[in-house]
Amino acid sequence: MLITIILQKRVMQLIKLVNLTKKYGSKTAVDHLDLVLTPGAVTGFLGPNGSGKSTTMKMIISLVRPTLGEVVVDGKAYRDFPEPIKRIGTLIDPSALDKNLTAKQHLSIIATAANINPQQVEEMLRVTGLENAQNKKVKSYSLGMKQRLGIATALLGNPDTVILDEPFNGMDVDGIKWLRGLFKQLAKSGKSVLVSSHLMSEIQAVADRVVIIGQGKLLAHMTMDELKRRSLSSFIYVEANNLEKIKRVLLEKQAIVQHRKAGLEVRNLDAKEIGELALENQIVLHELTKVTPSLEDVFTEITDGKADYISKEVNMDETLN
Amino acid sequence: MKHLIKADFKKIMYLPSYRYMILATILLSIVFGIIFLFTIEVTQGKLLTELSVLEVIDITLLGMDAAAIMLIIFAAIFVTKDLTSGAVHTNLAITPIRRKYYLTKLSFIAILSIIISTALIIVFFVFDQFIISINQMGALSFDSGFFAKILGSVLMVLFYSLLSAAGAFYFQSTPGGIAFALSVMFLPALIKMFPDDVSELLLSVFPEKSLHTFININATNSSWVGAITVLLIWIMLTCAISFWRFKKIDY
Ligand SMILES: Nc1ncnc2c1ncn2[C@@H]1O[C@H](COP(=O)(O)OP(=O)(O)OP(=O)(O)O)[C@@H](O)[C@H]1O
Ligand SMILES: [Mg+2]
Repeated sequence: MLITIILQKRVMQLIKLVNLTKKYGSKTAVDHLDLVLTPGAVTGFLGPNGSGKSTTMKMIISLVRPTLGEVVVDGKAYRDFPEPIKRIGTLIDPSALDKNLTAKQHLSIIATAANINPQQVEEMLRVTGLENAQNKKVKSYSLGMKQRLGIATALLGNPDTVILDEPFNGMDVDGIKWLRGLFKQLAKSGKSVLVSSHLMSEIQAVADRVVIIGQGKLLAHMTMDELKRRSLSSFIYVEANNLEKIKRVLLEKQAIVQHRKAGLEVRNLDAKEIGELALENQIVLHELTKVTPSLEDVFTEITDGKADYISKEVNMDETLN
Repeated sequence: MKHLIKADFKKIMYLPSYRYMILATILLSIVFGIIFLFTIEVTQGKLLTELSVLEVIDITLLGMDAAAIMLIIFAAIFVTKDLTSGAVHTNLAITPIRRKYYLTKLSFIAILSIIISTALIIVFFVFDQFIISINQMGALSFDSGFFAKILGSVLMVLFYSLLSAAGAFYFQSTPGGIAFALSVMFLPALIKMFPDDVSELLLSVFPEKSLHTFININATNSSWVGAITVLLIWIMLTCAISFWRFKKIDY
């Protein structure tokens, strides 16, 4: 038992964000973020534009200094590892390289700098499907090819954790399929993957978990299954001339009622029951609709600033110890 | 850090623009040195054969000024390219400790400057020997004056290229680095236009005079130790300020 725990601890890298905050002047890009990334899982990192995804990722690898709080990787800061890219591999910006280099030269320089076996370069070119373009200058690459090269760079040090910022950007259908396969493969080999996106559709097929942020704040951290369950739970949307009265009536019948837009979101009762209750109590219904939200709807709703969706995560420290 | 410097050398091997710049630096300096020597009749009204052996060396070593200017440009480009083209994300992910990153870049520039200036000195030396012997101007004495000249030339190139690199880190731009190093290089020429007592004081603060202590055999007013101290203070102060700035930047 002890041995398996020790083994698990060795492979599974733990990344903790503690009260992580970044302010640019008066603008708060990341706002008191507390988060433990689940090891060995593909975590989708979702949020609308400007919600602080990139900034958070940059703080994980010490590119940006937090205003407050810290990121702890296996008990240390990223910059305290002697060979950090063998711990965490990152793709922040796919055009982040000298465009006059070829893919092979680019990877080879990084391999030299980080003391990585040159064979890894060939291997990564193969894995990312850049073999045929390896001797072409990067400036002739399409965005999708640059993404592939960026991913090759991230994987070069064979890191335990891979962090990719919007890797789906510019990818064609084939590329997206390939990327999804790659994520599954990485997770299977025990690596953790953190992949950001502002579209639920891009990651819903691959992520085991989702972290959703908005305006730099953590809005939700849950498993994909939980999120799906939420989307499957349909409800009845009700608008009426006397909202307070019908709410009281519904609550008396053990319904679960939440305010939503100009009306109510009702669970536990079906449309027929609600209609009959309204008639009995002489309430005029303006709308009575059955709603089954998609994952995208759930995501939009969460990022609309509804704080009641926050689900606190189990402390991974306890799980591992 | 050894690996990082090796990777930087790999970079200049791979990128034609860097290779050409280094080639241009070497060729330009040699051409300048030779032109200075052969135009001495026009510029100083002396015949080549009237010069002393040490003067011949002195004049060709003026080609090192061209090398210094070229390396100022090179250093500024080299430092900023890795910081701005976006490559900074990857570079700093490999070397997240800013101090280490900074020191690596400066070490690389220092090593490159020393290699290039040493190579140039060898070329000039062989060339001068040739000129001296065909004109039968006597033998070259390898005294301290000779070595001071050579050391001074290497130091000058090293000094200005490091200033440029530090300037580039501070301003986060190529023109910034170049402008800074060139101002330090050329301001003394302007200062010389001030009244004597003022310019004397200002000049002793600028590194040019210290560098000339080595190169100019006639300089007596300032000691070697003093000269080295002035240069060291310049380098350490500039680097400290530019590193302090670089350390705080979010990329
Ligand atoms: N260097 C900077 N200086 C000032 N403000 C910044 C800086 N970097 C980011 N910001 C601001 O911080 C906020 C978060 O930016 P960030 O890039 O992290 O968002 P994001 O979630 O990655 O967005 P996107 O989906 O568009 O990539 C934005 O409002 C942005 O304007
Ligand atoms: Mg972003």
